[in-house]
Amino acid sequence: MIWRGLYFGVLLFVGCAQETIYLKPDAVQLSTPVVETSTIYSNGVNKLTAPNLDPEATLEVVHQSTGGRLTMASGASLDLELSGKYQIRSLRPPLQPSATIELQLLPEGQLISSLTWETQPEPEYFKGGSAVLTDGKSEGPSFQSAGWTGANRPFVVSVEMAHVKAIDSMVLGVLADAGAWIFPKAKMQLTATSDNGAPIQKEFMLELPWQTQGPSHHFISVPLGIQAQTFTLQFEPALLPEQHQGAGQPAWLFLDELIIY
Amino acid sequence: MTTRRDFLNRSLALGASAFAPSVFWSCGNDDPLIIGHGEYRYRIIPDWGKQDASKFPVQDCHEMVQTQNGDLYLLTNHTRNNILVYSLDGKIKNAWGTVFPGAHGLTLFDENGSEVLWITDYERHQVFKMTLDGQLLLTIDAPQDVLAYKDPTNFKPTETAIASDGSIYIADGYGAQHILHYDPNGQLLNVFGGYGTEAHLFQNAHGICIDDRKKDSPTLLITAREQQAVKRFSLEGKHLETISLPGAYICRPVIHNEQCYFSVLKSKGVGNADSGFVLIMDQNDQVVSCPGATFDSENKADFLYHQTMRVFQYPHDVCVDRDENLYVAQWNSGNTYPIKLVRV
Repeated sequence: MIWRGLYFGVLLFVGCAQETIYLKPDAVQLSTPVVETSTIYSNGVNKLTAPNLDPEATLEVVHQSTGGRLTMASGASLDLELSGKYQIRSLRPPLQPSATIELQLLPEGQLISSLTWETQPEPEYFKGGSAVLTDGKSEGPSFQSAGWTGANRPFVVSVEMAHVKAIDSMVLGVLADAGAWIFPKAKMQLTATSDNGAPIQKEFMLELPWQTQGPSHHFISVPLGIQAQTFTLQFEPALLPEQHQGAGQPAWLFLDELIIY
Repeated sequence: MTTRRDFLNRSLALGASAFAPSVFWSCGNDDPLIIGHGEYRYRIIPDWGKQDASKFPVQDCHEMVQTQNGDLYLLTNHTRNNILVYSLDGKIKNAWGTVFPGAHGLTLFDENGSEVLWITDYERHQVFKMTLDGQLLLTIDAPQDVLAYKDPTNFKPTETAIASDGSIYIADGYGAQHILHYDPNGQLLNVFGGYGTEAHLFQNAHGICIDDRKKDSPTLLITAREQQAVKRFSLEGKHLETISLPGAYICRPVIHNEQCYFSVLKSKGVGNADSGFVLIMDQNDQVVSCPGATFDSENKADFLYHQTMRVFQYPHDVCVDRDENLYVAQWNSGNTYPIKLVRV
């Protein structure tokens, strides 16, 4: 009996001396959540879901300007009602929280009665047609998705509003993806006729800071300050900047949304 | 049937029940992370295969197999030592291979009691049959009488599978996407597959294995990684079925007992770096566990598999040992060594 006890004692000693180092939960980070919303608008019916959330994790959603905090269990959904930016991450202590992602919701714009692509589009990057620009949906980061329209040469879009109204500004949903030569920088010329028949022509420069990271979605706001029912927008994509391997070549401009305020 | 794993589990449980208080007190067991689902759950030993990189460097750790004596052979594209031979305790027993810059596929085959390795090299555009200690036995070049390989650099083989008759199937997963069937001496017998979206074609025919779980009717399982699917073919090259695994970029199928294991390089979604995981299917092609990822016990057809926690970066192969522990070799993961998952 004594010998048997000694034998197991030795076994225990050896076992502890060569302790296996297993990975502990607090050394592991949750994956960055993929979130989906039914629309880009804070219109009271916008539902947010996170389909790949760990079943035991919760989603934390913080409204940036108010600090309001909401949490959501895996498999559930959240109604988002406020415009602005949200910081979102997943939590499951003692695992490390996921990286934080940002979601931006916009107020609904004025009613656009038609939006037409006037120049020959690139068929490969026009799968969803010009309708995708007014569908209220934010497309994912893949430029090959049907929700994006893209071109690397000048193109013209004509817009007809449902009513003649003062147009304050426009927001464009754009893609940045340096690896795919997609750079949200372009000259934009607006042409319209005012109520009294006078021609209106304005020129703007659309530009975001140069993005070297992977593909990302952004909104660019442009102050228009006109009163008109119809107008055309001519976009002229910029050349790729010096720091890009394709410097001097035309960049691609990809749009997924056009909202008029 | 009592398996070695059942026996070990029972023995350990018996030992633990008799001495549990002192074991837990002495060793300070404080809840390691457990990943996986159902019966396939694992603890993780991240440093199991870690080595002094100045002695045994690795670049991408592409594939891994276990020989009959229990040793684990790791294939890396580091030409200081393309093959690292691990003992089960994670120590290096041997290292060889300096001429495979595109070392990618590693398959073990028992040839009348003598084990041999098949190595594919997509940079040399060749496939090699080797002894376990690194002696070259046979080389297969690009088949230049096949139109797609008039230019031999189009041949970028990623994997081999060896049938019970010794004939060789080569998946040209980084090349023309053909599956090439050779006799045991390296004479071309058949070519099928190719690039495309139809059921019998591939987008990244990355991995291949012989599925001999139905002894009377072995078939080929071939991954179409970009299509997030595994396709079943007859040994003659007829497409039989496609098993979709949405969201899972599966590398190669690994049959062990009645299960099929896959390393998943990444989850679907651009920008999701380091988003790989492991996926296990049963003999009925039902997913039974996804260590590190989402899982649906109902196996709904449109279910999206996706990483939930960042245990892995880019798993490229999973090797299953006799005790059903897993070893995960990873691509493009900071020159890291294989991770061990201990089944619980």
